[in-house]
Amino acid sequence: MNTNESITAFAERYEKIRREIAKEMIGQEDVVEHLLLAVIAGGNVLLEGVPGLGKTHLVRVLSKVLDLPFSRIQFTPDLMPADITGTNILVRTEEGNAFRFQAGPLFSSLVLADEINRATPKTQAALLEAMQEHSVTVAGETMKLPEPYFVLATQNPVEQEGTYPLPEAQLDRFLFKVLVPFPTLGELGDIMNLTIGQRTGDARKAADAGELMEMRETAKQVPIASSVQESALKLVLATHPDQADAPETTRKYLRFGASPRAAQAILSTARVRALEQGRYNVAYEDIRYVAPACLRHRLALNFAAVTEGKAMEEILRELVDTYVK
Amino acid sequence: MKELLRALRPVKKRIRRNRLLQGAAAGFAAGSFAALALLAAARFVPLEGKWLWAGAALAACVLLFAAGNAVRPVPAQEAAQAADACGLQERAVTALELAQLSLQGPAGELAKVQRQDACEHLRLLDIKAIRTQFPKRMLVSGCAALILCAGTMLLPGDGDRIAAERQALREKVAALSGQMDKAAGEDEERLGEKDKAELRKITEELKRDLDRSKDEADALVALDRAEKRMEQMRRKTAGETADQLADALRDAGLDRMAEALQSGDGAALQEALESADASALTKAAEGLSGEAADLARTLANGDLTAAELQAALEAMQGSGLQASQQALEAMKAALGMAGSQLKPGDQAGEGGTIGGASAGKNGAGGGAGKGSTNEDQGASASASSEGPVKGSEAPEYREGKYETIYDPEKAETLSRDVMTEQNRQGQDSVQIEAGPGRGRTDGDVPFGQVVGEYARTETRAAEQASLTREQKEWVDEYFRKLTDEE
Repeated sequence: MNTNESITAFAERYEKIRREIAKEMIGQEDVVEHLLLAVIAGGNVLLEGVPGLGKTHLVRVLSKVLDLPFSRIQFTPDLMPADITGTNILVRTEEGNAFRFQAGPLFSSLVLADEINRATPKTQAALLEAMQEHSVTVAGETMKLPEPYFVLATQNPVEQEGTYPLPEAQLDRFLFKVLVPFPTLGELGDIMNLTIGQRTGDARKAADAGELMEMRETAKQVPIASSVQESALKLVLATHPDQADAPETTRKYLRFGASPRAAQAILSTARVRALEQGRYNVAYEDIRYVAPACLRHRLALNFAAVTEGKAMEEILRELVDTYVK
Repeated sequence: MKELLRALRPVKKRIRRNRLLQGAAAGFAAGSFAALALLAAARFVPLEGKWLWAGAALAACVLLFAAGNAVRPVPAQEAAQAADACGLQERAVTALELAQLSLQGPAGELAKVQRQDACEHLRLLDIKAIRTQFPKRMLVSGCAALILCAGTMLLPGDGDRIAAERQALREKVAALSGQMDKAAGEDEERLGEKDKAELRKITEELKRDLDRSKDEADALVALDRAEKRMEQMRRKTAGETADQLADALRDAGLDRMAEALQSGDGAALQEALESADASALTKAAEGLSGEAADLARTLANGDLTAAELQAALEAMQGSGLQASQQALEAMKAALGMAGSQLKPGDQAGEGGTIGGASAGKNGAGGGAGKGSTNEDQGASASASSEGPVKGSEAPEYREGKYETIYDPEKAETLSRDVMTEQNRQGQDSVQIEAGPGRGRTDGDVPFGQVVGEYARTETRAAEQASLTREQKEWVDEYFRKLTDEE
């Protein structure tokens, strides 16, 4: 397939996937959009929202539409690393007893890590390797995870007691942090009709793993003008309060800024969005759209921001408006 | 790349148009301030037609700035950015960057597709969406400067007054020049070719000098110069006429008549005429032309009294350029009246103040001039507080013609100095006091211009000095006669 055909196919598949997801997901367009961008870009997503908003359902629908195997891990404080990675178990064979590796729930294309902040740091670290390397090491043996590989982690913004906040290093490995809002009245009504009424969703397969990988490769080729790229890089630099030309907002309210992974995340997801919008180049609009989701989990508010009640969203909006025209 | 550049052409054209307007706006601001500076300077330095100059400065700045801004080439990058700002979402800029890279493979294909997409959107772009950004501050400041320019009309200064005077002078001179031309035309009818050319040259130079005159003084100097040249020409012409007729008379054997003619003695001419042969006189007149012939015919007619003969001789002396000289006199009178408007006894005005008494020997000119005035009349040698000659009878006043009356060393100064001038005739030195004045070193100042000031200062000095009533009346009488004759 030549480039032109790839691009045309990309737009069609993307639209198809979105349509299918919309059959079983009421509202949450923004969440779905970010999720798709991350999946195609090859990254992981951290979803934050109160329980009952359909986060698990979303991943399930996504796995159905993309025809990808799906597994769900409910993280609890007593969850051990082996519980998620898998372990060697002793089995009886014809030759005698032998160890056989029993794959854990991580060995799936779509992994839903529910309430990841309830797991112990050791278990979180096990997930970290899987997210980053797409591989798992058990008893010295490294096993590759299936491609495409996508981890969707969730966090409950309330009930923080007895939880283990994710360390910055692990947070940095998520491409996006998406805030799942509470549905509107109309959306709630639709949700009720869909879930407890007679209406049923019927999302079908819209793409498979191979097509998804093709879409990923196509998106990587989308060109970015130097000025656009520079604006994204300047935005990332502006989040560091120790920089000489850091803006006043950063100096006053941020404890530390985003890593270069944030710039990678912004540019890779902006490419996907450009194609999804029917363009063959990245625009400032794409950067403006993806930047907040890429940055909000990579920055830390300081005491002044907390005491003054300054929200992260407000700071992000100011920075994006300043550096991305 | 060519396709992309072609697609960017309308954008570049639009940008150039916007630059023209922005340049015009900047030029308007600059021109307004230039005009304001010009008008402000014109308050102090006379500038004729200052509003025209201000308008020209404004127009020139607008044109120059607009042209300069529009002529600058529009880079493709700028055009691409301008197009993207109108909703192209960085298509043009990206296409331009990709076109400069030599991409191969899938990246090259995608670059080609992207460029085609960009060109398509450029073709569909509404050029009017690229708006002109006027420098509002410049426009506002330009308007403010124009308002201030209008405000300068309410505050006329010395420069305006002087420029107005010059303009008035120019108009007056133009009117008088017309009369001069008419008079010169009349004189030319009676002159030979050579004299005509000379007269024309004098009148042309006079017109040129009058055109360049800054004030009445300059104009009067020019008139004076022309008058001198005309006088020289008249003498030369009259002499030539007399010589021509005298030669003809001698050829006819009328030597006595020829001598009387050349000497200008009417009585001798009368005697010679009575004893002369009329036919010989007629014969002498035959070979002559012009004024010589006229005079010969007059003499041949006979029956002339001595007075009539004398008048005929004098008419020969002055007939050639009479009209032109009269016109010159009229011009001088008209300009001189404008220059010296103050009557004697008027305390206002500026000028040289000479001593405390009436003019002493060579004292009236402030010490550095070539003039002479009221010489040898028994006036006091000291120009200090001592009074003049005391006596029971009025001194005999004699007019003098002042060639230079102001001290050139005191040109345009405000100081008053006391100087001592050695009396040229070897008598005691005279102490005189010279004040501010318009000193000149480049020529003569006509009498008509300075008599008014002279009269005023002397009358004032006479009032202040310890003079009797009779002596003061002598002074008043003297200056009244002087100024009346002007």
